[in-house]
Amino acid sequence: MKAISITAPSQLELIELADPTPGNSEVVVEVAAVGICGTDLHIFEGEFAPKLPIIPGHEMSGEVVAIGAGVKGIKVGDYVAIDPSLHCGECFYCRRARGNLCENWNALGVTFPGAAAEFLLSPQKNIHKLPKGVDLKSAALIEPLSCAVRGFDQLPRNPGSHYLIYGSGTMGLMMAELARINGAASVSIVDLNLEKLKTATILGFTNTASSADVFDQPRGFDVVIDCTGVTAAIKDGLKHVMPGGTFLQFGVANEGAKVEIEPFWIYNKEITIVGSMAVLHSFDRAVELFSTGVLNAEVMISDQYPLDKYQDALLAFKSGKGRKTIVLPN
Amino acid sequence: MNALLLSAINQIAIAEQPTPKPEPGRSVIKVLASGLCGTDRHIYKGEYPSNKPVILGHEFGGVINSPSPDCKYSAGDLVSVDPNIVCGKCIDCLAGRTAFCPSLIALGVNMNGGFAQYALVPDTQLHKVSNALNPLHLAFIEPTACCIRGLDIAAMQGGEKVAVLGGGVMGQIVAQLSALANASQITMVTRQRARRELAISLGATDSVDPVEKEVESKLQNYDVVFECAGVVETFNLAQKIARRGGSIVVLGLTPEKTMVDFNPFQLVIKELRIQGSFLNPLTQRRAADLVDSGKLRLDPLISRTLSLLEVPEILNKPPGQSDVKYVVVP
Repeated sequence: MKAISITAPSQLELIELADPTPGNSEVVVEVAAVGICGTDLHIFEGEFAPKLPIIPGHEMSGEVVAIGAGVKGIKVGDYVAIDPSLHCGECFYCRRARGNLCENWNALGVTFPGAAAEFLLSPQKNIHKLPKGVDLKSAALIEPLSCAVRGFDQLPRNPGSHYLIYGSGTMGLMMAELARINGAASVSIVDLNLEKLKTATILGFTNTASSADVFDQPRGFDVVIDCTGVTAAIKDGLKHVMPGGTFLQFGVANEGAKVEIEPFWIYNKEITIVGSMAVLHSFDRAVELFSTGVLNAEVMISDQYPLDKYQDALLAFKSGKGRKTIVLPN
Repeated sequence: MNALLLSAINQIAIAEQPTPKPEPGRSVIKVLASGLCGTDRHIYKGEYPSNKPVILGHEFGGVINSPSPDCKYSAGDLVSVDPNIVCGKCIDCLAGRTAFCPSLIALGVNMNGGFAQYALVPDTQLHKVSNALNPLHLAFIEPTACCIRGLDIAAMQGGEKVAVLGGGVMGQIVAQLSALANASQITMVTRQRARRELAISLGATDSVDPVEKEVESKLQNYDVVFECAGVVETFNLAQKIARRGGSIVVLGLTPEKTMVDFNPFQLVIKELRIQGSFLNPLTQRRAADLVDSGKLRLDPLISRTLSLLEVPEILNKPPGQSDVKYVVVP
């Protein structure tokens, strides 16, 4: 099969290798679509993945083409989305049901071969069958949605709350959609990129601006979510949390990033500041939500590339244009 | 009656004041114990806003002397006083965020408090306890209510590991509450040896001097870190010693405008939760019941009992390094 291999920082190759064959409890999936995200870009730039070469791609969907002898409940021809998380199941955190904090954390597309390939080999337990009628290529959006669902799990989720979201990219818009179906009183979205705000408007989010100061919320917002990881946005977002409210750090900041906060304010206004890491017990719910149409895939997916243009797809993503970019390996 | 009257910043003296008389909705209690708190010191020095002239003292209780016509309690009943009076009608009160009621006023801060022989107290603020309770323990109910708020916010589970940063009265009560909540380890982190020994004698499992070398490597993997010292160093330490998925509860009053750094990358990777805990919203009743139950060991926290006459001198001196609580017996 053909696959993309990141061989060294900023270097990737289209390689030819043997088609995978399933072990006893493994499944081989013909990849329909694989999404590009910031993590892929980090890996391409030589960060995050502990070892190179690696076949990237962790937001994926496809059709089952082979199953191991011990696989039950999944058959050839099933349409599936794949949870990339490979939690060890044995460490302290896994045994506390916090596998996203696993001490031996691995993931398809990060430490094991991912879906930037014609075929993907996956453990059976990572396979999630898609209900009938789900568009298989768009289903690459389920993995980022499952991260957003985990982020939402970290919030109080009180109906009637006012939400403020920083970043009108894929993740910010997914958060906005989750806020809407969770009974938000209002959803406001900030982005410095006015083009990106237009997408929010298309999706029906009318409170959009390049600065949160223009929104009429003198008490602040019940929930502020940063989906940018940019310290200036985080700093600004903290200012807009209502007393008793919650700030969710969802965007991944640079490793050494620092943001100043005032402990007196956290104390005196009972602020909660919380982080959310990847996927945790949220993939199946993301499948359900996606199947009910919580995301408008036609709007969310802006660009499609063939496998041999993977690098172009990465660079287009890096340029910040468009929304979710997917690669179609077959 | 005799009362300790703050007439201006840095001006406090015993003054002869009219003994209050009951009014509709307000009863007169004879004060039996009134705790001296760090906030009193801040008010005295003008570092925390208050009305003037005012009788200080907001951690107090006593025996009902002259009940109001509609008071549900009777003369001779022992009562604890919740000093924080809220309107009960505003959007914050109705949402259960009473600590943020814009009309919040406090006995001993904005209205006459407990450093007097008698106090006029709204009936809504009275919580009856059994007459068998040691009256000195009435001074601990308000701080216990603040600590219970912190435990509520921590949402600790049985068997978790707790670090308490700060060995003052809040830290000592939080450590005891953690033991009652079945923490498997309770580490008292405080500079004063006497306070560390006190905590151990009251149920902490171990203790650490935070200025020791390599203190961070000794303090690892806490599920819940209670910041009860209100200094920058402990706030920073808390972020380092909380385990992945852990919670930091900020109970300590760090001076306003003091800034600290937090690392948004670590917040995501470790899925930390930083939460403030302010005052005693809706916890005074539980605190009264808990103190009444005798499950907290409070006598060892009383460093000294004072007469009203002794208070001005105490306020003029820096707090004793290993002292925990001064209780004023008017």
